[in-house]
Amino acid sequence: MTMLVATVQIQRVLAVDMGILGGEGFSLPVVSKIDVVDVDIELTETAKAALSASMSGEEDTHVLLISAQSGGCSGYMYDMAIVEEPDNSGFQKIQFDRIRIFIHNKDSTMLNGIRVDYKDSLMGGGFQIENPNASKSCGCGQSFS
Amino acid sequence: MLVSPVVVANPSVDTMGNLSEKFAQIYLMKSSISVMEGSDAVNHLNNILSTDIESLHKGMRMDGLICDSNGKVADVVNCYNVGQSILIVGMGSNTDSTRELLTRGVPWDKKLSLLDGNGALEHLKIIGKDPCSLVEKIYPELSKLSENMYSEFENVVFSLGMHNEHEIIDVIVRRDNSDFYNRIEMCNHKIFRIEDWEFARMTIGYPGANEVSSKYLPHDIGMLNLISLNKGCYPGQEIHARLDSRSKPKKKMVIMATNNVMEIGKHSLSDDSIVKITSSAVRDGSHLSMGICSVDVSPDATLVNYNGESKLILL
Repeated sequence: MTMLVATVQIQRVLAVDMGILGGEGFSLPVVSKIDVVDVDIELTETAKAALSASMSGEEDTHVLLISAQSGGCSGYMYDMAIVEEPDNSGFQKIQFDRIRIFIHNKDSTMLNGIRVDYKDSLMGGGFQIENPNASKSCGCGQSFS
Repeated sequence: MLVSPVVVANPSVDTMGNLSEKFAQIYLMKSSISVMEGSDAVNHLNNILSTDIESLHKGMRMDGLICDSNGKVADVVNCYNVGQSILIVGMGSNTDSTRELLTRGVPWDKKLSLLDGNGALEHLKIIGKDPCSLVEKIYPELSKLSENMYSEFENVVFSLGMHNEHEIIDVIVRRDNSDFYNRIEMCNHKIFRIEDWEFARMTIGYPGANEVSSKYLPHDIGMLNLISLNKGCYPGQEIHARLDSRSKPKKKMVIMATNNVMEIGKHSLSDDSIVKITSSAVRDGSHLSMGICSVDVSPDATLVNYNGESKLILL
């Protein structure tokens, strides 16, 4: 497994509000160091079938983008979206038959090893993510820490 | 009942039952000052805070709590929307952990940056009797302060907050703003140090570094008003919601006035309960401490096995 180190892609934007935030003295952006790992994920057969149905023949132009961001009951929450292939070099691409899954490098440590499943149920159904990196998950399964 | 009030010798404190400072005074704070830049800053902050700040529009100040996934308090922050940026003022003791939380979990397609503002800005608090009058004296040109809004005048930001029915004025000023410091001097006031703040904050039951820690729930330190259970998920929300629906708070913060030094740690009370003293300060021979005890503590409870007099003040 490749271990790289990257910093969050954040940029210093000049403070356009003068007044109290104008002038010197503000330090460079605070960055969180993030480890980048080669992502390996599992997609169950039911999840594959559900994704194929959702993509409805647009697998060549669209991808499943899985990401993590701040929020949820446990600190981070998952986001899954079928989107047009993003023009961004920061993604790792995982292929399952015709389905392509994109995970951004900055989320690679948190999402490496996840298992994406799909449950066809009226109550609590839909896509579900099991995450071996999560020390804690919330009741609805959409958030982890 | 005490024979002689132990804090009567302190000119700024009336009696042990009435701790309000006689005069408003200005204190230099040891805070973490950060600036979050980016068009999605309010949303990103709202995902992290236990307080609903979605309506933090330009010109507004809102206070919020950062909690961990166990519902315990990680920091208390004042957020100012200054247009393109959010000015975030938190506890100095939590600077690194809070900044790490604020910079993690930024969505891949959002550009947010967090700047360290401590090199450029200073944070001061004014508390005591009628702090607004003190501000009016220093800045007669300033219009009347109102809650949730801040006023910026000559590169000084003033905002009014309330804690336990006491007015607190927060001031953010550039370190190189000599006019601000000259005005204070001209009005024959002085800026008290952070060491003096420790005693002052206890007179109004304002939590400090030892209370705003991952050991305590917001309920324990009197910060229940900064929880928004109807905002949706946030870190710690499950715990807070369970406490709200199935339980009741078990602990609360109290002030302990004594005539001798109080050691940090657990102490027995005369009603067979325990008070856990979290911080202690002394001024002019008067001792105040803050602690956490059972919500059912008797208001008349005193310390047992204590060499001196004590009075519990409920918040």
